[in-house]
Amino acid sequence: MKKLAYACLLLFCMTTLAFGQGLSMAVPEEVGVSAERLERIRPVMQGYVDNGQVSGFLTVVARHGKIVHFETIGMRDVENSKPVEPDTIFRIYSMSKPITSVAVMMLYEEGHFQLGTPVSRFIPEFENMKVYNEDQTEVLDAKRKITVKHLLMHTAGFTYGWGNKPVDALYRKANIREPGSTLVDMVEKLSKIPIVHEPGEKWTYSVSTDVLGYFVEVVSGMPFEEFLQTRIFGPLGMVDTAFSVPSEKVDRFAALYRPTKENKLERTRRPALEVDEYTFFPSGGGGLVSTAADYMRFSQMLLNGGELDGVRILGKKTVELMRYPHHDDWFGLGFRVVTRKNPPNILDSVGNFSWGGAAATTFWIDPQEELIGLLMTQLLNNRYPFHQQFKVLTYQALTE
Amino acid sequence: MKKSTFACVLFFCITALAFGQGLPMAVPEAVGVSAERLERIRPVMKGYVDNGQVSGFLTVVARRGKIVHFETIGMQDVENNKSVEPDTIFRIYSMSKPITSVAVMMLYEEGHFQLGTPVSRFIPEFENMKVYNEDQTEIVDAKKEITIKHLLMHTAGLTYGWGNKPVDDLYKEAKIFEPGTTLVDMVKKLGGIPLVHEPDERWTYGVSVDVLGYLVEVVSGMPFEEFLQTRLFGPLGMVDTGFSVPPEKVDRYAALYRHNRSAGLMKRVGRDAPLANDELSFFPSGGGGLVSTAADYMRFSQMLLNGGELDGVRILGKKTVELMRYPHHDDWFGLGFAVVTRKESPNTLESVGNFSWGGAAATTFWIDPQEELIGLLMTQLLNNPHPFQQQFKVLVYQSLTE
Repeated sequence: MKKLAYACLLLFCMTTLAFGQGLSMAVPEEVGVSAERLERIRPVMQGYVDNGQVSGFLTVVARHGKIVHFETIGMRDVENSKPVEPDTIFRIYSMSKPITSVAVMMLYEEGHFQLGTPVSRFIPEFENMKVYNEDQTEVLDAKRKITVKHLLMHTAGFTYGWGNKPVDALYRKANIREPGSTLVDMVEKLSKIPIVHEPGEKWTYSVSTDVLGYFVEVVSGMPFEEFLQTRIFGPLGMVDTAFSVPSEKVDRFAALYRPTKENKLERTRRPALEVDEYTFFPSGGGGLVSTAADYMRFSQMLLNGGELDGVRILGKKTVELMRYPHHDDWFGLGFRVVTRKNPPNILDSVGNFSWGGAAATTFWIDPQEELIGLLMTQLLNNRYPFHQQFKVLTYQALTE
Repeated sequence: MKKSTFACVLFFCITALAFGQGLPMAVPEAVGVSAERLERIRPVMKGYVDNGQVSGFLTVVARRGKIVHFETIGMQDVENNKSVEPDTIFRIYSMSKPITSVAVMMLYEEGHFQLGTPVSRFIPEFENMKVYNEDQTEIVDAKKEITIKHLLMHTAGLTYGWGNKPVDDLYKEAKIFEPGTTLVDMVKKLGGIPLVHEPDERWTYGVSVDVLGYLVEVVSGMPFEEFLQTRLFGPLGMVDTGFSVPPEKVDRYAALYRHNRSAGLMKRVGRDAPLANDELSFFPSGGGGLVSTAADYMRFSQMLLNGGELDGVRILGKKTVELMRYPHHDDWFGLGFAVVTRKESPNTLESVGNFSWGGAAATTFWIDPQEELIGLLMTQLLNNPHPFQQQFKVLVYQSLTE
């Protein structure tokens, strides 16, 4: 019996290495998770695929640093009958933001700036910003300066240009993240558009993390992509994370879908940020593609307090600072953070930090339970509750 | 000395198994409880029996998974001179609610719904509910939908029909728990009665857990009783818990009494017992229809204290039990339990995080995760005016030594 279990574990581990799941595996029971209960994840996810609502999923759960669940379901390319594979490459969109935020904090750790440092010290374009008044009818001089912390917290007063305010029309007209343009171009355009409210006044989801990408360029003196590659992706072994998919990996790149009115799937052509089919605008807020293995390594580094396999990316106090609920008891420096300001409406833990991407990818890191959940898929405008289901199905499997 | 202690424990254990107390026993001192101090419980309880105020009691205390006190006092049937036995069957009434809530959370764990899911998705009778205005004079369309969490928290705006508001008359007229009717009948009646307030507005004790029993039927696709039996009572070894007493167990079934205000004593209650279909079966009310034994309810409670598992049988994940015993509403009510917080300073011996509930026939239980302690008191007295529940709690807690 023992021998069989050992053989099983060995096979498991070898499979891990073969499939490249990013972290080592463990038998779930060894890390306080019920294997039987984890099996509840697949049928729920499979339901969406069988109903033609979602092309495919890759779901991963890790506890105490070990993968206990790594499942591929459905297709990465429905039309060409290619299944989701362990190494499928996904557009992670806003899950780029935690990565960019980590890059910024690496430079913070080198003493280049404080969180309260005005960003205009490095990006002079942002001196003397204009701001809309409360009812968005007048443009005035901004009283406050945008700081690095405002950008990390989405309180700078930048926006995305998706709404109906006068400022949104200006964003659209300027084509802020124009495919083929550079981060300097983006910053120049942004500086000429009034911010939507005074810095620090409220939380507005925005291009601020894209600005931070440029900020990394200026402070580090190297292109943003190069900084990410040499300081984060290379050292962490995130071999498939980048702003483009090289030709030899194109076959692994998932197709992108959106739901039709009839809750079926429609393949998306020319998605946001796309320069060409395999290249994206170097948007620190949304331009990266990645794999489950890569993102698990990034997440485990954060859960470990900044280090993975002997490679230290951040100090442990820096990760603590990032996952502190700085804004309004729910948002940290690049992540949502669970607090108990309001009673919980789902299984999770206080201190859980997380974010998601426009194509319905999501991840969370739970320091209390030493748990990571990651869901990859490629569905824009998602209206299904599979994120919440995946979370419940993961947490209900914890036994100790 | 050691040998005699050992013999004592052995005897204790054999007795435990023979009597079916639900969990293994231990010498109190082995789990930080004073045996001598536990002896203070019996005389206080016995006083009520001797005075003819209460027919009988069964009191149980468990710590760290071991029974340290299991005592029967008085009669299960005064008129027929039958004493309370370890396996006496009691009407637990609202102590059914935690059981039903656990059933709901088992389905939640399978991904069928979220806590915020409108219940009308599964029970269309609850679409487009009406609601009374604040001063109960007008009926308007409800603005909010009833969610599953509202039902678990008693904030849906359903009530019991025991008061003097217009809505209470409607409940009484509709005979919500009419003997012999089904849960569908109940839900259909409820769908036609306005809510007493908007969902989520405030806490109102009501039939919401009965509605949850029906939700379990709809979601699981099996009768509520069957779900409880196959998913909960069977696996946990709760062999005497159900909505009826089978003929072979009738002799173990306690008589029900009601406090008699004029005499200060008690009066036997027959067929007119709340929720009774007849003397041996009840409306399948998830909020109040179950009968059970001390052993069964101890197994249920210990499963919760263990974070969802007992003797290798897992009913819930540990995070789900945590979520249930979080004080979701107004710092005192969780998903099916009262929860002790320190919003106000304590007025009795207990711990923060203690979760509990009781039943109409004066049964009560509590689970204390901090002290790994369970207290259970069984009796059969409606309209109880006596403070024996508080006394039992103090007498239990004062016996903890570490």
